[in-house]
Amino acid sequence: MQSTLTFLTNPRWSNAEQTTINCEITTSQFGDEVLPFTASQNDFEAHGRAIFQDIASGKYGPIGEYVAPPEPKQPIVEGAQTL
Amino acid sequence: MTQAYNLSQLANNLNTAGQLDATDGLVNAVPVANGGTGASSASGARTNLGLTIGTNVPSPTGTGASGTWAISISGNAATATSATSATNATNAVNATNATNATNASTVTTITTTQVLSATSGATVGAVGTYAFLVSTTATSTNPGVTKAGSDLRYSDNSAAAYTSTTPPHPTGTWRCMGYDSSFVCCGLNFFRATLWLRIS
Repeated sequence: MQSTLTFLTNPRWSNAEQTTINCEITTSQFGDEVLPFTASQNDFEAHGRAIFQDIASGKYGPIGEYVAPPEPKQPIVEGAQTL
Repeated sequence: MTQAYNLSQLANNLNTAGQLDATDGLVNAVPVANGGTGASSASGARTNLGLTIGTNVPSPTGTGASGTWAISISGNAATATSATSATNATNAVNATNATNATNASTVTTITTTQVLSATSGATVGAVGTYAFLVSTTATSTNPGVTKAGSDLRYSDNSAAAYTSTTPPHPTGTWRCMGYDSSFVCCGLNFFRATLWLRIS
């Protein structure tokens, strides 16, 4: 099914290297369902690369700063987590 | 005398260049056997030539004649019910080899082998592919929930530890196709990987 981008909002960098951008989109395929989307200049999909270029060129306004997520605190025991 | 009279009459129908005026110089139509149509009307000519519309050849609407007629259609055959190899055959009931057959109810050339071959050729992370991923938020995720690729990490069945940068994350939008029961306990994050489908 051919799907087209119908809306894109809230672009923000999703890594410090600025090679990926997160945003919210809607498409013709999914109607009004708002989809979180990671655009990448290295995406296998051509539309992913095109969206990244459009956002980077300013088509959708300024790009929000990257906010690093906290490093997850995980069990140090190797193997299956059984809790 | 009769012959001389006829020649005189014929001469009367010649113009100054010696050419015969066929509109009033000929009494009968030229027979088909002599290169004519044998008729004095277009419909009569078609009948004599075996080209009766609706009998020997289809009418302009394409009806009225039996047999198979080769019609070259390029571009768009929106109302065709059978459009073999059409570039665009919207609503075709049967669209063999059509490049684009929207709403076709029968597409005869797609086989299981072709579907499986196309599936096996999919690249990791392409739209329509599945991946075993772990969410970076240690909260449960219900089936059907969508997340951005950067909020997921490729994983194994132990949902092994990850950092904010490794292992790599996919791109695009992913829909949860299983159930992620990740949780936080005692200040620690316990992650659970599950199956995800890239949808955009």
